Amino acid sequence: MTKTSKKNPKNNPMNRREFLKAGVIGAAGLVAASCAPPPAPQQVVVTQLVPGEVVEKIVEVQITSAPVVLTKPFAGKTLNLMSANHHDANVRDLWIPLFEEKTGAKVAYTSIGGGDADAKYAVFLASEDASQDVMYSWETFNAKFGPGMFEDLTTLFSKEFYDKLAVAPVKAFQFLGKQYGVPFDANMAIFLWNTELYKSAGLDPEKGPENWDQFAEFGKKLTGGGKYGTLFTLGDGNSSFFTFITMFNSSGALLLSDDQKTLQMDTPEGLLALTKFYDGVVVDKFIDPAGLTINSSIEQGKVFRAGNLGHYFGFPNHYKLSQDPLQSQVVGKVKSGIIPGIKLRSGSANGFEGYAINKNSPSKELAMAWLEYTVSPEVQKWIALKWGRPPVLNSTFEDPLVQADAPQFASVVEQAKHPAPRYGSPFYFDLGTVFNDNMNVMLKGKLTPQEAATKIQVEGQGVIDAYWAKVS
Amino acid sequence: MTKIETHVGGILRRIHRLDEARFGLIMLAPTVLLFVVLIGLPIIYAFVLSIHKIELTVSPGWKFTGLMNYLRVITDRQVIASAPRTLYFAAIMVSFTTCLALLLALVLNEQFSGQKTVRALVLMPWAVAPVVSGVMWKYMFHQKYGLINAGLVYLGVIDNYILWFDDPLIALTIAAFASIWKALPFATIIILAALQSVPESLYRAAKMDGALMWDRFRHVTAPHIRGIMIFVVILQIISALQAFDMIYTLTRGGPGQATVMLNFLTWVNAFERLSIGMAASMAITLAFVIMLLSAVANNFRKKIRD
Amino acid sequence: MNKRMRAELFSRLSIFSIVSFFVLWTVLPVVWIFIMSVQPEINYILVPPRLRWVDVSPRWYLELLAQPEVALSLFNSFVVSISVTVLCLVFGALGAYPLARLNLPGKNIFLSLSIVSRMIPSMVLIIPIFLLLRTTGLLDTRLGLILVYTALLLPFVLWMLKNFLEQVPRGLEAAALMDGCTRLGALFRVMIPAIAPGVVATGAFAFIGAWNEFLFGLILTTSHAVPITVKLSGFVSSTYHSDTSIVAACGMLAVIPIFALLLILNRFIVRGMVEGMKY
Repeated sequence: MTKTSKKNPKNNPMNRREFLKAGVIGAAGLVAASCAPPPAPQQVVVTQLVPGEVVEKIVEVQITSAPVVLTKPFAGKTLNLMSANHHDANVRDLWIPLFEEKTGAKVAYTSIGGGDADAKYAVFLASEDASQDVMYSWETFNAKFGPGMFEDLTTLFSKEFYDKLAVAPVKAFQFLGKQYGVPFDANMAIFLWNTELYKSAGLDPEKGPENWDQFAEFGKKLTGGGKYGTLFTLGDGNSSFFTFITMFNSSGALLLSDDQKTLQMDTPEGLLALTKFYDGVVVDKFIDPAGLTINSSIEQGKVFRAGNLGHYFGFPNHYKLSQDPLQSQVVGKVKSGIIPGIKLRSGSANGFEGYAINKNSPSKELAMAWLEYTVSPEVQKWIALKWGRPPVLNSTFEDPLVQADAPQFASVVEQAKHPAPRYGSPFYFDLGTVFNDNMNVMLKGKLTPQEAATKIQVEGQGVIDAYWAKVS
Repeated sequence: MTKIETHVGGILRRIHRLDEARFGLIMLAPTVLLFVVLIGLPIIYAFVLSIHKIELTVSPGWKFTGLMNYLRVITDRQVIASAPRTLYFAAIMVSFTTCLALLLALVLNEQFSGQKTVRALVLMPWAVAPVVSGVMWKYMFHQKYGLINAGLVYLGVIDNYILWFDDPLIALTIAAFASIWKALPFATIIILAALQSVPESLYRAAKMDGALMWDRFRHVTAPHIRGIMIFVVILQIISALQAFDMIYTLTRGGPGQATVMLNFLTWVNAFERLSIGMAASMAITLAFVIMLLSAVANNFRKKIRD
Repeated sequence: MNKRMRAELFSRLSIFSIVSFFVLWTVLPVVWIFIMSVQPEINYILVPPRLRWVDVSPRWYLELLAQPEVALSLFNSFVVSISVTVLCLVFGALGAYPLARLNLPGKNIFLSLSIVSRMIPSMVLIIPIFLLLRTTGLLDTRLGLILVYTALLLPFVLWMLKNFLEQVPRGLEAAALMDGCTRLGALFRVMIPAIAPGVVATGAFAFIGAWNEFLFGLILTTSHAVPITVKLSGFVSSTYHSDTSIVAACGMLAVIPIFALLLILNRFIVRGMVEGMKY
């Protein structure tokens, strides 16, 4: 084969048959390797003395010196849990080991990016998938996927169970009257400010603004030298809508009618909210326009923690992060309060998170055990102290340890007294897009607040009508 | 010879004795099987989906609607709004990729020191996954830690970082350039290959006739690579109209709807609105458009060849 | 300087500037992400960025690789991509031969149809393929991914190999057959080696295609067979992602293996295309 060797001197050809054999075997080997299951996670045998057990048992254990495995309620079962990857550090590393110990079950934990969850849930819904028993959820997911994919929990748990939890989060996890999930936190936006920046702007570092006009006044004083008074996330439908309703909710009106069929944006309150916003960005310029490309509250927090933001509407765990010297330049310089309202004293928007049970799950009791576990006192304490989020279990708020460690929770309790609906719905994203598009244009000065309000009303109502037309 | 080899040899000999058609069929069989099961069946399923009304947020049921979905696709407000964006994006991407690829291939065809290294470097974007290149370009133009912003400030051109992704047209253009960046290597190699197949003798003859660089290109190179150029254009059209992965990580359709193109709308319908029927009909309509454009371009190529 | 030398200089300069521009534009995004992956975020978030040699550290890579899911996803990507490449080349070679040489009714239609079918946005095929894999128990398995990716890539692989095979002079094949080879033998012993660079180029194409696939990876896997591209998207789309350097490091992890591959096979890829693309 002279021609071959001249052309490819580097390719010294093996014997063809051997090459073919090697290729086939190699292919088979690779295909087989790909079928091989990944290394199994460590099996742990837990020896635990159940509290209340008589002392005699202890002696028994010591004499036989063999591990005694007491029967657990769910020994040998597996719980398939799908969560969001920002839960990894807490749910996977902290909650699951204790749950496994208590119940004897194994938890198969998977997490995905919050933004990717829509696609996966959609496919699960379309294919009536039963592979996950417990799934991460929040208000909009309940509205979108609840009726089709989540188990109706209204009667599965007792009234006493729900009574122990804060009212707003539980309600947020309902859609059209049915309970589709159990929240594990009472996360809602509060008000955080940088005391040092307040002082240098000539403001009282101990007092936050009492209403929006004061907020604007403070904001103007805090703006300058490349820093802005405040920043709002307006980067996509979700964040714009969230920002808007955080303000709107302090106007005393409701954005959506109770039956979710009418958008109430062409109201004085809707116009008021938009106008305040417009003034802040276009007229008085104390709101950072970079917010138009930011859609993550974490980015907000980072700017604040770098000492570049005077005050903002932030989540309670941002307070905790701001006290971590590894991530923050403003340790000890942060105070929390409630959001200054545009009409009422205050209003907010919630970011409650929780878990739901897959309708098609074969292990519903185990799934229920998990949901109960997430609102148990131990886990709620972890949420408050380690995660920095407000707990949903009322008794945890009253725990003196929690109150000492997290002063921002006092603000949360106060904030929870004011309206904070999130308006989760099956058309949440489309509606959010309407808000985002029009607010973007308005905040660049190309629409007046009145024009924007009208456009949002018309387009938003169109979205809602289109959805309800599908239902009939 | 082991027993297995005897058996395999026996089978092979029997196959060898079959006539051409049967032999060819058997050789194609694994491919055809894989293809029919994993691609063919799903396509039929997609067609079935597209003639039903399926709204998963309401109920899992399917309602037969015939071609209503297709009608709704053509008249849908968002589809109509995204058409000019898609056109703009595709036009920029196809034209720039083709021209730049031609330019780069011509240059790489010349001898210069470091040619091998440059060829290797130029291939890099091809290797990068579209999701990754979305992240890369997002960080290039980022309003807080983008390299472009840092460079412009360093050069004194601007004082404050620019919010590149804020303006719809700029965001769309950046998306187009990121796609060009990604598509350039493959197009370049194809054109380079075609260039290298032009016989050297023709160039020599032209040089002896006193032809300058530009004339040589026009009379010697161009006729030879016309077919390949059309092929590159077809590839770019298909690629531009199917762009999704990169947009997903670059802008997610933002700001507002500025980078939502037809393929992205399919995503929105399928996974955000859960209107699976609509999404299927949108995808199939898009496929028809792509097929039409490719057929037109292919016809053009055949005409040129003769 | 006479006219000739000036023209020569001009063309040299223009080549140099064009090449520099392209190399810069090609390499810059990758270099920047690499820099971001070895610097703490506070450094490059400042205006202007304060990049310091002393801060350079591989710790984000180590942090990533220490997570078992990330290491697993790298492993998955490798296994899947290599298997897909092998399957594509074997099935492709077997299939390209009849397409190139044999008289098979409808063969051109088959090829055109298969390429046309890939013009349908893959999004809409996801649900039926998901159902298929679920029924056969191949969800969240590497084997499932391998089969799907192979099916997706085969039309192009077939097309490329067919083109390359057509370039092989019939005389070569005839000589092999006369020497007593079976047709299959002629294919694998003579023709494929004759187009070896083309095979390498096609193999690289298949490997890269499989490695870079994202959407199917996202939907068809949950925990066991997740590829690295899906992991990266998870970091990017995480509602609360906090450390950009980690995202950058994950992005680099997703491209370094391919760069290594290209570096090694660079010669063959270009040569393969060159020798195979006779139009």
